[in-house]
Amino acid sequence: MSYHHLQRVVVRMLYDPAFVTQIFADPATALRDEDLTDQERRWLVEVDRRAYAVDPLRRARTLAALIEEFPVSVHHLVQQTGHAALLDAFFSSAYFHTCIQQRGSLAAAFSGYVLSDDLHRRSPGLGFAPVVQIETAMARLRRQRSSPEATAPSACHLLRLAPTVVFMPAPMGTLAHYQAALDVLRSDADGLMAAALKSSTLLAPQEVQGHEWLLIVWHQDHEGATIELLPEALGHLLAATPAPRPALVTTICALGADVHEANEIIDDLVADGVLYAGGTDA
Amino acid sequence: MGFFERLASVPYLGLGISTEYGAIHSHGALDPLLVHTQHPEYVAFLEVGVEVSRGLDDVACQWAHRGLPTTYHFLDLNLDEPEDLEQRWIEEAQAIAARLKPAWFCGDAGLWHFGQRERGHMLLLPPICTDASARAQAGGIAHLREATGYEVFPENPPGQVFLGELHLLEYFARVIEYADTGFLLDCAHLAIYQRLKGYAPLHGLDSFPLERVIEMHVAGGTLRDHEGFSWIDDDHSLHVLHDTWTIFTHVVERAPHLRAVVFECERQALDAVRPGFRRLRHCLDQVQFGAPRR
Repeated sequence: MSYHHLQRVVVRMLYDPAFVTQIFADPATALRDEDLTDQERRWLVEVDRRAYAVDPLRRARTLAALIEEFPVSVHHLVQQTGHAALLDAFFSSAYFHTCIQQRGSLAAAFSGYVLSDDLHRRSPGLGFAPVVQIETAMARLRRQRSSPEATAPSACHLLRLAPTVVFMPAPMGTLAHYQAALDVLRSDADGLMAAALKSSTLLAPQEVQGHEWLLIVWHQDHEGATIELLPEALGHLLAATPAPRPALVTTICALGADVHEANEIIDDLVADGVLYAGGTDA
Repeated sequence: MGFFERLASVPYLGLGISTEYGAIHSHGALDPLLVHTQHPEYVAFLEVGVEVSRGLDDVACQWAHRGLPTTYHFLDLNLDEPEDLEQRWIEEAQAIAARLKPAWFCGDAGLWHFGQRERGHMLLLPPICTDASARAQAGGIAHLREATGYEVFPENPPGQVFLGELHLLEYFARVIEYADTGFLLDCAHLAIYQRLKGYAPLHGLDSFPLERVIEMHVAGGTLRDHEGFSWIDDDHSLHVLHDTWTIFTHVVERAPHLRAVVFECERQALDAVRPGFRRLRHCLDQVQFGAPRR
């Protein structure tokens, strides 16, 4: 299967001129971590190196797809750093190269890059991690299209969050900020993508005390997600998953409900597709 | 049953055009149904480029609804990656095929997307031309054929970076032999490859199994320059390269089982591409096809 590794190296070269330069200067060193034969390394540099760069818009096209999924994250990155070039630099980052070589998800790699320590060291004070986490969760759900096969709840199964939902804690006010920011970008006369790249308009999220619980739910019927702000008690319950049903009943009762009410709450969450019963692992 | 026995049930389609999702919305683009009505001799069938995630556009749906002939050209399958032939994709492709009722499946045997099939992952690169890769492509073709019940004809992709020890034609000769199937020869893509590698347009065709060529593509291309490196952009523009015509006219006279020719001009106006249609029609009228016409 070596040809797959070789082809992935080609993809990386098509996106990253700096990588091309490294390979043409010293293929053995530049490709020391790749499972390639000497012959395959030679093939890479027998090509006219200019052939790797005939499509100057390749990065821009791919970046456009990422901005569509991460508009608020991108906007905050551009706004807070003042460097739109940081977006382009993603394609020279280890996140991008590892993603391609390991057949990963570009959205996940981009999220990792935007949240990376390296980026935050270069631009101290960045404060938009919660919105990146929201958009990352939505990107993940968009790719998780099928619902789990439901099994009847029973005491011997763990109840866990369905793969069509993401539950996350966030600083207080995150959801309101995110939705307001998205509304502003979507209503921009130049379109969402152009708006995301403008270094203006939005206030950065404020650091506040306290937290809120968010539930992001993917709706397959209209291929979209909704974000719900959960009551504190429900947040505590979902934070306790995965867990056996009796343990969740105990958790709910500790919050003030009786056993009957606790079971009803759990049944409702199962019926709504938030929880499902399955698996026996911890 | 071997390919040449199965060939008896592969219909003759003649001359057609290709389309992909939303192509008709390009300014001045061909309306396949209109051209079919006015010039059935130019557009007898429609090759529908399909990304499963996007489905079929109105043009493809209307064409299929009228029961007109189609082929299914995949735009989202890496044949040489077994993990890419996931069950869900196959089922969705089958559902689309049930609407199109294509004569066969076909598509570039290259890298349509890196990683998994996700937004932003789309590209098209040629395969690595080695024997191991050819065997993997053949495995994917056989898998898709068995899963869908349709013949699957690989196409030589375009590109500017070709790696491997095999000439592209030798590579695809092995692919179709290992898969025991037919071939979709894209004359424009081959012209790009031959020029890039410094070969004459017909280099390697004398030893290629032309009896397995079932379909051919002809399309325009544009000569471009990048820092002194000249290359051909396979942009389906008006100008069909001389080398592309050379390859087409050579093969059309020597491919006894040719069933279909596609003029890839989906974003052009009819008046602009009429000379190309005339030339293709003339060529096809001069040769004998090996299959019964329907």
